[in-house]
Amino acid sequence: MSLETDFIQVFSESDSLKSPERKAYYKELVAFSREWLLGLPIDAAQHFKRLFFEGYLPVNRGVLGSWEPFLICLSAPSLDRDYVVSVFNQYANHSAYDVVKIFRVHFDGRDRAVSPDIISRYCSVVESLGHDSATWLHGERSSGPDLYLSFYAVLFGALCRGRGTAKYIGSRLVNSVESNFNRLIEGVGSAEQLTYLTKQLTSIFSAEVEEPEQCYSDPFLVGFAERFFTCQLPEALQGFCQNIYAAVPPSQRITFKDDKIFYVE
Amino acid sequence: MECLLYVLVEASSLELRDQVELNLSLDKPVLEEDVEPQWQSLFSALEFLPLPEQVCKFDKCRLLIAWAIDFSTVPSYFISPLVSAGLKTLGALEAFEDGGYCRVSMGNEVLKAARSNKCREEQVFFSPNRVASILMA
Repeated sequence: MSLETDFIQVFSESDSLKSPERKAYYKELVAFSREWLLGLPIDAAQHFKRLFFEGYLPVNRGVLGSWEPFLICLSAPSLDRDYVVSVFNQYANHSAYDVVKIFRVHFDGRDRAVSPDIISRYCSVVESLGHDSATWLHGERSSGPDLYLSFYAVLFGALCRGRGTAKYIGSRLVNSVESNFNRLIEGVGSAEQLTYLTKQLTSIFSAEVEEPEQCYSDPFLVGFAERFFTCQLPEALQGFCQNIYAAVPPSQRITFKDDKIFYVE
Repeated sequence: MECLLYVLVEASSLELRDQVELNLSLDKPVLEEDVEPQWQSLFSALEFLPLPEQVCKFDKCRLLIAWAIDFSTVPSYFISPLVSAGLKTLGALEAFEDGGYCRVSMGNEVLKAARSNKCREEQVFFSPNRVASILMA
């Protein structure tokens, strides 16, 4: 059988697929796959190599198991949101769920001994899969929205524990999560995330945090406070936050003026 | 329950042993064009063999190689490429995390390497030195 009938071209074949930089990146991807992408088929190596260096995959999808769309995105010569969404939309919803869930549990806000190139692409994939055009988010009883609500909620949790938010992917998802808050709170596990968010916001609104100076100067929190105190948050989120703020005794409440957050120690 | 396939092999030279060790590691060459001509057939033989969990060196140019496997995988899948790479297979066994091991029957053809009913209760899963001594005996 000919190559054309057995394989589909996933990337444009060119010499640049075999550049020295790509060879070095390939080694990093092999190490990453070995450590994090558990359950890859035993014969995945040959298919992955052909994909990476020649741009082909067999017509019958799934030779790379449920990790196939992720490995396509990690291997692609270039990556953007439409590409990530179009690739994952061709596969079962659990592929996207597993990729985002592993990031949430094992990577978000953590320093892992993984190449910066892979982390950067992984962040792009997670960010892209949160877009409304990704079909996995709309599956019946999808837990996808909960994960994105969680990415947002952990920003406040980090602030309460005296950590900055810059290392968390939630800081890149703020606009997306806030503007889709209405939809995200309809996720099957949103109650748990909202309980967590309520607890963290209560601590922040009442200045009961571990490192107040660092917390209240964090760029994400300053931006959030500005949107909250000027009532610019989307309606559902604004109402949710106002209820929490109102429950804090007035003498303990933080305030916002001249681009700064004020708190009582 | 985890299972490790341990395979004991012998190279005809230290150079060959070192090349095998390299080609079973994350540092292995990526494409054949990156490999010196005399090692290209070894590279091809081992190119798609899954990377092992452990590789232990022993004297006489011997290597004990361990792969995590499941029961759907036949031992010959791992052993055949080693033979194609020019190595002599001295023996193999499957060791179970909960204890016990079973020898792999090589038969006359490595391609027929298969599980045997020669099993013992001894715990060797975490002991490559003990595995090596069993396979060298």
